[in-house]
Amino acid sequence: MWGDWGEIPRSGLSYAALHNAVFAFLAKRFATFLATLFAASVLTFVALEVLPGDPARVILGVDAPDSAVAALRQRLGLDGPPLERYLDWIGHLARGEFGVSYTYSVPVIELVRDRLQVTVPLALLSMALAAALALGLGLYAAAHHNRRGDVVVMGLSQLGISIPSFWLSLLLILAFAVSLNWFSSGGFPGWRNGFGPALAALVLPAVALATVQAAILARFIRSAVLDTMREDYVRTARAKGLSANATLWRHVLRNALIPVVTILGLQFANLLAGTIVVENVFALPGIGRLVLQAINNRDVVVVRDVVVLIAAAVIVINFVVDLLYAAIDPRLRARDV
Amino acid sequence: MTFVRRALRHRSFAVGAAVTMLFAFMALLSLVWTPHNPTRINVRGRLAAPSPDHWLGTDQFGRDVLSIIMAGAQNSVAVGVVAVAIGMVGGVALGLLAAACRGWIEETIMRAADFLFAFPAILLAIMLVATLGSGAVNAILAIGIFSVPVFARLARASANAIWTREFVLAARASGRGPWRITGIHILPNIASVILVQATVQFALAILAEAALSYLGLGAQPPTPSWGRMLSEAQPLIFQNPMLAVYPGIAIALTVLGLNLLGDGLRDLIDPRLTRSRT
Amino acid sequence: MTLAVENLSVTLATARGPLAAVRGLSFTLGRGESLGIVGESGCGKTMTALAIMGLLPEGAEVGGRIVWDGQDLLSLADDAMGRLRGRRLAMVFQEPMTALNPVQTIGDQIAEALLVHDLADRVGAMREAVALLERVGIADPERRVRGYPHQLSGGQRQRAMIAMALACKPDVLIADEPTSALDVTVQQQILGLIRSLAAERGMAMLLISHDLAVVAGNVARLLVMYAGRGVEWGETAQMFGALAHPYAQGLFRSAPARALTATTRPRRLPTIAGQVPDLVTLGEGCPFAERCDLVEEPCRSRMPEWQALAPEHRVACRRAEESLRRWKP
Repeated sequence: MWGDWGEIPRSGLSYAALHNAVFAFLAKRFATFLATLFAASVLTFVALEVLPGDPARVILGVDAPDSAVAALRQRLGLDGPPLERYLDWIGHLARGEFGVSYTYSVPVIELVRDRLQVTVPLALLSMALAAALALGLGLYAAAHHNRRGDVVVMGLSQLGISIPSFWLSLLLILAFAVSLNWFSSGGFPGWRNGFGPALAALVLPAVALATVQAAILARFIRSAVLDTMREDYVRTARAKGLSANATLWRHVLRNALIPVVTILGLQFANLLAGTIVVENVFALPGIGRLVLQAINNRDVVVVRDVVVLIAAAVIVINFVVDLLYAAIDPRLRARDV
Repeated sequence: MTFVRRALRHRSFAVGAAVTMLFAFMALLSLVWTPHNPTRINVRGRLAAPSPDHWLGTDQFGRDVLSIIMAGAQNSVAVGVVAVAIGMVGGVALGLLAAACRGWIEETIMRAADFLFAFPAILLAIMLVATLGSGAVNAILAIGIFSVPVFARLARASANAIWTREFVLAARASGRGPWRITGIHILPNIASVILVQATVQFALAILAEAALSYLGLGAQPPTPSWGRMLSEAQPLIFQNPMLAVYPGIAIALTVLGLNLLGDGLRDLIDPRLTRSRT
Repeated sequence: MTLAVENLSVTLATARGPLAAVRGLSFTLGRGESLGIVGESGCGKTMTALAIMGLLPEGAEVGGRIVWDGQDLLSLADDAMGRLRGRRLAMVFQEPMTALNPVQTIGDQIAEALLVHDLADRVGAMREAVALLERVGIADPERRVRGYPHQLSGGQRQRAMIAMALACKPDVLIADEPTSALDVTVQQQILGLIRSLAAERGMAMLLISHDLAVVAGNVARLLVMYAGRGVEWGETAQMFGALAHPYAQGLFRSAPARALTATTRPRRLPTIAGQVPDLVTLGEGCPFAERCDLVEEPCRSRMPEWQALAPEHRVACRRAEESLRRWKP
């Protein structure tokens, strides 16, 4: 908290040691990151290509002549030995070359680029909303442990966890689009037509997504804060003369955030899954809607590439969380060396 | 006896158990009786308001909403039971294996679990559906597979704690093999924790199934399902908003009941008393 | 500025009912004086210390008075108490492993004490932290001030804790088992450090320990506690010459240091027969009655009055004379 170190000289030795430790930590986490990414691509490939079922046959129907099916298989890149096709696919992906959509006849990367302009702001907006809401509620509940405020917040969070996000979306549409007419019930005007309308179109979906996330997060924050408040160093801080509030902000919160950050990372996977559903409720042209449409059109190329992209996004987020973790907890930097 | 009395006095357990039993009863009852046939289409009785004959009114196909909700409970219960069974059997077996073998086997299983944990379950469901086509079975499979790592992690952590206890040490000293010890000592001791998790996973499975059905990736028509009721109600939300409300209440209540039941069970099995320091 | 504890009682709420952790405890600690409180774990030593600091756990009920500088600390509001905590009354805790915040540097944690009480600006507080670390005997303080607790050994952490407690030059230093978690070789260094710092700065010191040997050489007066009550009080040398309470004698005999030095051959450590009483169900009589070989019927029903054995030596025991007669230091 006191960033200014004054005139105290920096010791060169310790700085170098710290630098090495951080580097070793990053290297190890990066290796895990690559391994996980590899596993995700294999899983996707195996799920889509080795499982029984023939997308080409599904697209063309049971009555289609075998020759047509074979031709489509070739077009979809479903020919040849699996290993060869996997290497071919992953090799292209590594160079940033995505497949070409069967239904749109457009490179997948272009489809994705447009859709990300909806999904990324939506995910960030709802994560921010969820984190802010959960932090407030969780801290409030912990500070009022076992009192009325705590019971109310925990009851609300229990309710929030139980409500499916797509139903909450429908309720929000009912309340704010049908009855009050504050927001539209769906669709997206695009960013080119002004920032305000585009953002307004994302408000209800973000609230729907954030509510569930916040309900889960608030519980974790509450119990993490309660656990931390029992620690000896919190008593030490009080013994120094810090007020209960100052102790909460300066000593409890940062330590309590360590377990919360892990949950936040895992929550992000849920959040992305949630965007798939919520985008469809609000007819938002995002990644989730793209995937669903691709499935309905049996566009295997799009499904495969987008699924790997989403998985990669989740893995990247978890990697970032790992780094964040190390930034919060100095013990970790040393432990892994 | 004392456990039963303690359980009935525990508020969230009692409420959760009551709500859960209500929905289980509704699912069972719907097997033999519903007010109307939940799949019979009646074009003349479309979108009827609630009446003594149709308590919750009818949908755009003239079907009785209460009957569909009752029959939909069947679908939710079936999906929950099967998916949790898949996840529990697979996960507990892997977790016990990891705890019994340690070393690289444990490491491999846990890394795989970590990985699956970070992978959105709905994505696998989407992939399965893309190859195999939509359907309740694929949805169940996807939900089940993705609850495997949850059970595996929990089973391993709990089993590892039991492995260090004295009575296990004694059993090892008397020459019992790891599999016998797992069967006799470890599994019975972690069963209660697993049971608590199973109720929570049951709730999550119902939520996931509803979402998949809403997207058209779960139960296919004419099988009654809460998720699909909501997707069918959405286009009519301006004329007939209540159609989008009833099935949601059914989902939320069931999930809430199961969550309360799980919380209550956890408290009853492991009462954490307030620690005091001297 | 005298710290006077008058008829202090602390009652904790437990699942089994109210637990009387401290009952009717009184003592005074004048400016620059030192007092050691000795007793087994659970005898109420720590609760006494926390009561003085106003840091009792939630749900604890406290009675009596703790008078310092003319005001009753127990009646102060938390923010008023906060201005005294760390500034006038400081405390060193038992577990240096857990009593330091793992995610803040040592320097930040020491500087915080100064900043909270507006005794320095940031730069000055950091410079003071370095000086304090040097004073408590930590090598390379410029580097350590940037280090985190996990990078220090147990002894160094306790030194850092002491530096933190000393930062605002308090009038009273309470050290609760400051060496129990440390290696034996480090224990005496830390105790010596606390004693010399207290003398150097004219601080009053309250040293709390279960180990009579730890306390004896470092304090001018001793208070022996048992099951929440004070049972014997006196000037240290005077007391060791004439330990009167049967419990205090047992405590002395079971101390390992004496067992090894008093005889040429190692012998079995004597132990006190029986068990510490249950503080939830304990009655009004002498708490040691059930374990005492000199017990009389009245001991069981009423707590014995304090009696003076010397001007600086008091004991709360009905059979003090008989007990004293068999005492061989």
